[in-house]
Amino acid sequence: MLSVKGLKASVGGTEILRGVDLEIRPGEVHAIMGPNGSGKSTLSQIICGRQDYDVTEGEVRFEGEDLLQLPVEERAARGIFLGFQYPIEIPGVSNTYFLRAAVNAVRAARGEEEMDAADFLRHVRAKAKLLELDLALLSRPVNVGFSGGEKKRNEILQMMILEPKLALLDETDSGLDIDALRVVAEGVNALRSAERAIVVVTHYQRLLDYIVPDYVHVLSAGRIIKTGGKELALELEERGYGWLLEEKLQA
Amino acid sequence: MSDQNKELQELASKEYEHGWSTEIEAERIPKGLSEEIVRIISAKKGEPQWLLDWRLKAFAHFQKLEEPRWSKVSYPAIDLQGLYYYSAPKQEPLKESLDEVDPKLLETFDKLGIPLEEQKQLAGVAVDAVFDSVSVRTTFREKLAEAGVIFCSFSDAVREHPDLVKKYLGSVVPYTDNYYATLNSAVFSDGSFVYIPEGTRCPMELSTYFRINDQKSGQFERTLIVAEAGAYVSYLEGCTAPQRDENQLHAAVVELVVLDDAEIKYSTVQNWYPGDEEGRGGIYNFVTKRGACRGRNSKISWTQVETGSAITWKYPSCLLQGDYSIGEFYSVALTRHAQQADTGTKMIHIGRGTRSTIVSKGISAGRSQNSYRGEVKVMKGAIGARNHSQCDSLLIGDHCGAHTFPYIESQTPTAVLEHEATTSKISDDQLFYCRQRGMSEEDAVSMIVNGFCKEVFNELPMEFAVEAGKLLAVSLEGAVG
Amino acid sequence: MRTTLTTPSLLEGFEAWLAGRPERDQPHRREAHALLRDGGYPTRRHEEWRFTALGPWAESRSPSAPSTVATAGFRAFDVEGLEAIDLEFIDGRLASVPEIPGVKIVVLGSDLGPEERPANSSDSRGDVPALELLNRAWSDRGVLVEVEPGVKVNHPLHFRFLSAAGSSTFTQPRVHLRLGRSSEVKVLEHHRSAGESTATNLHFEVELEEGARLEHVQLTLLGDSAAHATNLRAEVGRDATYSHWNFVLGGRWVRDDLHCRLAGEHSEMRLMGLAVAGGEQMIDTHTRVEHGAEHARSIEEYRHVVDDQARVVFAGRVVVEAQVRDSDARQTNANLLLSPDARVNALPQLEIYNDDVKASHGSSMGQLDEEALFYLRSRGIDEATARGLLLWGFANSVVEQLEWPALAQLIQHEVQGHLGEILSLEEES
Repeated sequence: MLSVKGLKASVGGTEILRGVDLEIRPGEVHAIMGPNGSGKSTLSQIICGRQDYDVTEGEVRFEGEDLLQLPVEERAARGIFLGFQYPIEIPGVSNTYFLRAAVNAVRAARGEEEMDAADFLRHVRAKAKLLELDLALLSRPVNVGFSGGEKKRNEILQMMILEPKLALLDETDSGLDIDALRVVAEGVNALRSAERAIVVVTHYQRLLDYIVPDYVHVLSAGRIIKTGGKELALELEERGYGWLLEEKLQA
Repeated sequence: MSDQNKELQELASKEYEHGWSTEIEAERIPKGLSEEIVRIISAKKGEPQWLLDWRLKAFAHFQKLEEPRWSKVSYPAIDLQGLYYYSAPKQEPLKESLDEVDPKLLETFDKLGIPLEEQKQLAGVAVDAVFDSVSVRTTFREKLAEAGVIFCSFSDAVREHPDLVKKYLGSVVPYTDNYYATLNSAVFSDGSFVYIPEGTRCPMELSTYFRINDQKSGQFERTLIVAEAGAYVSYLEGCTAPQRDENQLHAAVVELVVLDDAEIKYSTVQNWYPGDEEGRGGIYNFVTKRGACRGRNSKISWTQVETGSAITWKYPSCLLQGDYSIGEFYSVALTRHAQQADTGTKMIHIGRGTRSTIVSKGISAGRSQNSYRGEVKVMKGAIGARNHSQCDSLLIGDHCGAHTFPYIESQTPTAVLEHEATTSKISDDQLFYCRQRGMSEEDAVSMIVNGFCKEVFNELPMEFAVEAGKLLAVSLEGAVG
Repeated sequence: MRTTLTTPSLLEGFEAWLAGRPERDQPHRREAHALLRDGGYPTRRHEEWRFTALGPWAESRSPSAPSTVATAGFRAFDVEGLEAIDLEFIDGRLASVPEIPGVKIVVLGSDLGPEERPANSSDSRGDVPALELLNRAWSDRGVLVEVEPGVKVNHPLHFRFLSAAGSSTFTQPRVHLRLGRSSEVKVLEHHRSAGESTATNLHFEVELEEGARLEHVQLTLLGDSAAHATNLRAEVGRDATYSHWNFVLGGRWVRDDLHCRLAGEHSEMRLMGLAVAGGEQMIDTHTRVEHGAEHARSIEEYRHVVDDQARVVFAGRVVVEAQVRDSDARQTNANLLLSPDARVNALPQLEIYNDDVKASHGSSMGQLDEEALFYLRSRGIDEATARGLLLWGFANSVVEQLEWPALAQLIQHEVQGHLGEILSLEEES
């Protein structure tokens, strides 16, 4: 589904990704872990089409198509979703209106008809309830005045409504208390399916207790230095990242 | 970044929708400005002597004035002698019967979405349609009369309600007020008159639609609205003009008088022809709008959406004379291409406990210049006065300008005044967020700008709010960048 | 745009005065004088002079005659613990030239000094302000201070401006301060008067080259009848940082024009101001912050406490020029009115010609926060004390940001004195 090969990227002349390879197939859940500044966020931003980075080498393909040539919104229309680490506030635009505009834009790009307004609203409310999201937030401006936890749940709500093929969740666990973490994880797990892939970018193992990954990748200094199963995350939790770096150096 | 800008730029060059003109034979008087012309206009209207005298005093005063140049707009000198001061469709119809209105005029207003047949209209909105210098029809007059509400053209008001006109004309904006108001006082041709009697809530929204059609003509209309004690009215104003290469002058005066516990809500969607991409043509819009809150607990609320005109020079103001009176100003001003807007408000606090709110949203694109200019002044007696002002500007592209010039004065220690202003571009983060959710850049910009203006749109009557949102989207199309 | 007024005496007798000056300086002085004579003093019709007129202060005054007073004996200038190097100006004329390692000091407007020209290029275009013309024409024995590249001056420079000549003169001191690359210095610009109705118009030009740092405190502590203007022109180079503090704690009429330009990339500027005004004081401050280079930051904060019949004007303009990207400009202005006859005008202005900008201003006017007052009283503090505390907090929030302890202490003492007066009068009434 997603194939990243030898990806190198820099910002302002500083190289951040130094050759990343990653293969993700439908139905899989991947976790990308790593210390701060390792390039985790950069990788997901580049996959989604953020223009602040210079891709200097390598390629990113999605279902065989060269992703790097597509503008952000077309990648979204192909089914790529980014859960933002810091969701953006848009004053004056109601959350529901925003969601509906997004859904209809994606549907239009796929040649599908607009969703009926009433059906849409019912659908959104049902999902919001599932996420224990205060329904009043639906009519409030996008993320404005939301608490940290509300913002993160709102991201998951958008994901549930947009039903992407590939969801990249960037530090979705940061700023969440344990109850919120459980709710968010349940939302993500509800979306797990054979057609859909999920990539969880995180600094801590905590979230992976709830969203159990098939693969864990460790990103350090712009490279994936180790890939393993879910047990790798536990090992990292116990021993930190230091031993991996040493192992890498010795190799 | 550059990709974004390019798309934004493309977004900003959508055509003006109301640029067509109506082929209709016009009756004009000779070109130019002179005492003789003032007399001809007055005679055409069959005006009483007192009104002619008033015009002549204004004209005499005008001779002493110089065109003001303090605002942040630049334009070549206006050749006042090159203008026609009166232009009316030939055979001015008797407006009582629709059958007698020239079908071409009906067609014109139909095309503008303002049908003049009452049965075709939105229930609950009465319209005075002004075409060049004259009012061609006022709808629902009878129905309004039942409630005691007077809604008619200014000329009719002079004929039918001379005492009211005499009492209030020039009482808020004296003929000596400023260059353009003085000019208007001398040569005004028509406009709307509204009178809401004591304790009456006007049963429908009132609306005036201004259309400039003729070439080389100036439009000088006057609006006078009086709300007696306990009265309420919501008044809407819309304007369009054909696309012409020349600049046309529009210098209107609006006076509002509000007595005890009364309220006037005055909304404007100004969409005069803005000129083309190169800055050719477009209306010069120099307007004086002022309301006097004379009564205790009286209220005036100005809401404006300004997207048209080559030059906008306009400061709808409130004189808060009555104790505990309230003034509000909500404004969206969007400029693109070579448009220039210098607009804002004045809130003069005179009475005790007076309150005012200012919300101004400016959006500049293209090579346009967009300035907020506002004054908040608290006089000595305005004990406990309050003002809150919020002025935000968005810049789209790096060839335009956004400016904020508030003048704040307090002479009262118990007054509390707060002013805040911000200027920025549309945030890259917001654009990326919307686009990641699948929206095109154009839709994202439109959505973000609409959100930016939300607080002002909320103040507009429903149909107008929808209209304003669309107008903004259209103006942003191709205007972005 | 100026309208001509009656001819004041500063415009007369110029040629006779000029005859005694160095010949090479005469052309530019004559030019400035001619502009002033032809244009007249600005009146209230001039946007920059909406609230005060210069003419009445300049009329019937002449440039100073050399005075014999010595500031050294004038104890009021002493600041405990300042350990400064003094530059003394008596009635606009530099009295003596100190020696400072790494700093070049040259007397301007004398035969010894360099040829003088209008230095700041931004002023040579368009309308030269009247204050500057006055100073250009009449300044005598000003000073050029150059801090050599890389020099960090250990002791602050203390410019002591004493006005003593009284009601017949309008003194015109002039200071050019240049900081070479990566140099650093602290400057105290200190104004005092010893006489009735003195009037001073200081022209202060500041240039910061790449990476230089300047902490500049202007302290105006004049007598109740004094008139004073500081006309500051500052240009901040690449990576340089300029902080200007403006404490106005005295004077009948104080007009400050601060015209500061961020001329180099990544330059920074901070303009801080506090005025405590009472009696019939008129304090008229105009600031202009120009963002002329990319990635520059400016912060401005002005606070005013206004009592009695005093009047305060704050006109703060921020300009971001076209082509200048990534600018951050913030301005706040807060005013407390304490008397029914006090008056405040605020004109915060943004003029922005580039979209890559974050600019904001905020201005507020009012009285002490009633809720805060209530809160303090609910904790057992009596009302007068509570008011005093809040007033002090309002004013001190500017002073406490000054990282110059000896000076901050003096200013706090002065502010307390002023506020104490205000509060004790309130209690009596």
